[in-house]
Amino acid sequence: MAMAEACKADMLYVSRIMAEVGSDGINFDTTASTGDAEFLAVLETVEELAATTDLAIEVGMAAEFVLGFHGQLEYKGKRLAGMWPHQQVKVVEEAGAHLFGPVVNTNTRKSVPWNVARAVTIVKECSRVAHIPIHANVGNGVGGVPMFEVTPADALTRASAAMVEIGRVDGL
Amino acid sequence: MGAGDPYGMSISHSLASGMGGIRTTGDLVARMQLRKKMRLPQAKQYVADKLKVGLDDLADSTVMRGLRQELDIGVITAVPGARKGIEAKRNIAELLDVEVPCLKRL
Repeated sequence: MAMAEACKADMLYVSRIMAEVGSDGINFDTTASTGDAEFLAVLETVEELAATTDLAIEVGMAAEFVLGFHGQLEYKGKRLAGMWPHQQVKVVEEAGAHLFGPVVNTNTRKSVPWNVARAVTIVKECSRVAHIPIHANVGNGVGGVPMFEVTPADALTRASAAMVEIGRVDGL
Repeated sequence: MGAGDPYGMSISHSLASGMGGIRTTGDLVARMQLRKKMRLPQAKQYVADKLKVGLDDLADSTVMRGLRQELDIGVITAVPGARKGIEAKRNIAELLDVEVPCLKRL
């Protein structure tokens, strides 16, 4: 947990300078890539920034599932380990963020339709329960997009349109 | 999609599901999401009401080109005498009735 405290101090340091110079907002990208302790550090940082600055805050995730390297960590009574996007968005909302970026990683052993269908299904539920705008991650290897250096436009545009029309996201 | 994604990805997304950014009203709708936590339908309705246009016009680059020039809130190309950058942002803040942080630092 000492690392989570250090992580929080670093995020606050950078964010406060961004706020001081008049930035519109800040995006915490690939949140929880190192698990539940990092997710907790981000949520506490968001809570403090939302209360003390005029930054618009986005929390973008690293994967669809929060890994529980600690396992028992909670935010306002909710265990973070094992949370899926429709649960993640609720704690992010509670922390005071303005935007949430759900992520569904692409399974490279499966087809594009399989991955788009899985990503859209998970994001659709997240969007349904959300009260803040949802900006799904539809980049390289996430959101149904294949993992490839030069992304095939036909695959990418199908994932992009499906995420908006079926997933009901507010942005990408 | 982010800065680490392959070059060209943003163009495909823009064509497949984008609103058009400053060519239309994408920047205004995005600003309402950022500042007021509005979901997409609510943000679009808010912007349409403020601009006094229909929802269909929001993503019409021909309609919006003229209207943006008239309201002086920035257009995609440089037009002599037209506001751009932070000056256009000031007009956007007034039009949408939102705060733009950088304007408070002037």
